[in-house]
Amino acid sequence: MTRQVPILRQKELLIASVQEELSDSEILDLQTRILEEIAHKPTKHVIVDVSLVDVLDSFGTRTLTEIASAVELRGARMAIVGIQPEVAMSMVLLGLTLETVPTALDLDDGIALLKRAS
Amino acid sequence: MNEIISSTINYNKTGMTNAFGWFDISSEDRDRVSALKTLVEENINDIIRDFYDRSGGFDHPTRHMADADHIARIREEQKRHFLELVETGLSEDYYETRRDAGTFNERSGVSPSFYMGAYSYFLKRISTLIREQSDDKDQAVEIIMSLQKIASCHKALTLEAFSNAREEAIEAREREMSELPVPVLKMRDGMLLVPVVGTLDSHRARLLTTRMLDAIRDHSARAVVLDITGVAAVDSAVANHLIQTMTAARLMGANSVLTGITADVAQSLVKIGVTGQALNPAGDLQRGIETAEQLLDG
Repeated sequence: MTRQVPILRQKELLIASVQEELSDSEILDLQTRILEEIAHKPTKHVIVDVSLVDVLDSFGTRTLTEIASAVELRGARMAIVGIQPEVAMSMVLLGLTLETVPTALDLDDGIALLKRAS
Repeated sequence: MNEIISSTINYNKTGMTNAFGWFDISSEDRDRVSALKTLVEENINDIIRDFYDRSGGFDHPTRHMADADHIARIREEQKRHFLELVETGLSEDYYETRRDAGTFNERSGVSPSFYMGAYSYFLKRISTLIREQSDDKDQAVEIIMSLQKIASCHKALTLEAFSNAREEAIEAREREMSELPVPVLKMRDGMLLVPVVGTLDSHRARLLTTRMLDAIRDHSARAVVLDITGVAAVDSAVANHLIQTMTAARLMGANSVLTGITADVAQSLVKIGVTGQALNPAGDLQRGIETAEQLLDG
C-alpha cells in the first residue's frame, strides 16, 4: 500500500509535508501529484517539508531537484525546508548539494524566502 | 603470578646489565666509585653551594627561576642525584630513580645544558678532591676514570628519561589541544558565531559540524559566521571539512560566512586548489558579521 504525502493548498501556496522516509515509487507519486496540482490551479509557491525525514538518498534528492525544475517551468518557485542536521551532513558526504533548489530551516522561513525571491 | 613478577625483575636486570655494558662498567669501577661515598657526602653541600654562588660563571639558575622555593627544591634534587651516583649498588629501582630525575628535570624547567653544567662542575670538584687526598697518583687516575664512566652512564640514562618525559608532556599538550571545546555562540536572533581555536583534527572537525548544525536547528539560525583566526594550519582535509559543513548548513537553510583566513592559510588554501567561492569568505570578523546581517535582512 502506498502512503500518499499530504499536499495542502493555501491560496497560491502548496505545502507538501513528507511524513516519513519515502520509497522511490512514493516520491514519484509525489512528483506527479504536485505537478498535476500546479497545472490544475494557479500556484506561485511550492514548499516541500522534509523535517520528519531522517534519510534522503540520491534518488530522492534528484527527484526533488526535478520537481523544483518542473515547478519553475510552470512559473512557480519551490523550496525545500526542514532538512535535519544529520540528513544535511550525510547528503553533503554523498555529494548531494542541491545547488539549484533554495532551502530553509522551517516552513516560516521557507515562505519568507520564496516571497522575498518573487 | 610469581613468574610474572620475577620476569619483570629479570627484564630490569638485563636492562641494567646492558646499560652498564655499553659504558663498559666493571664491578671494579663500581667498587671504586662506591668507595667515594664518604668523600661525596662530606663535600656535596659545599659543592652545590659553590655552584650557585659562583660569580659570573653561572647565573642561569637564579635568573630564570626567581622562586626561592623552586631553587631550593632543585638543589635538594641535585644533592640526591649526586649521592645516587656513588650508591651504584644498583637496587632494583635504579631505573626508576633515573626516570624520576629525568621527569623532575623536565617538570622543573631544568634544561639539559644546566643539568650537564652542574654535573661537570660536580665531577671537576670531586676529581680535584680525589687527586688531593690520594698519595698514589696512578690510583687516583684510575678512580677518576671509573667515576667518569659511571657518571656518563648516569647522565645518559637521565637525559634519556628527560627526553621521554618531554615527549610525554608534548603528547599530553596535543591531547589537551584536541579536547578544546567548540563553542557556538548566538550573536542575535538568527545569527550564530562559531570561533574555532586550535587544531582541527578529524575528531574535532566532526564535533564542530554536529555542534554547528544542531545549533542552527535549535536557534533557528539563518546566518552563521565561522571564524578560523585561531586555527594554525588548514590542510586540504580541514578545508574540505569546512566546505562540507558550510554546504550542510546551507541545506538546512542557513548561509555561512568564513572569516579570519590569515595570509598563510590563504596561501596554503590556494595551493591546494580551494577557491573563495565555496567558502564565502569575508576579510575580518567585523565584515563577516556585516555580511551575515545582510544575509539575515536580505
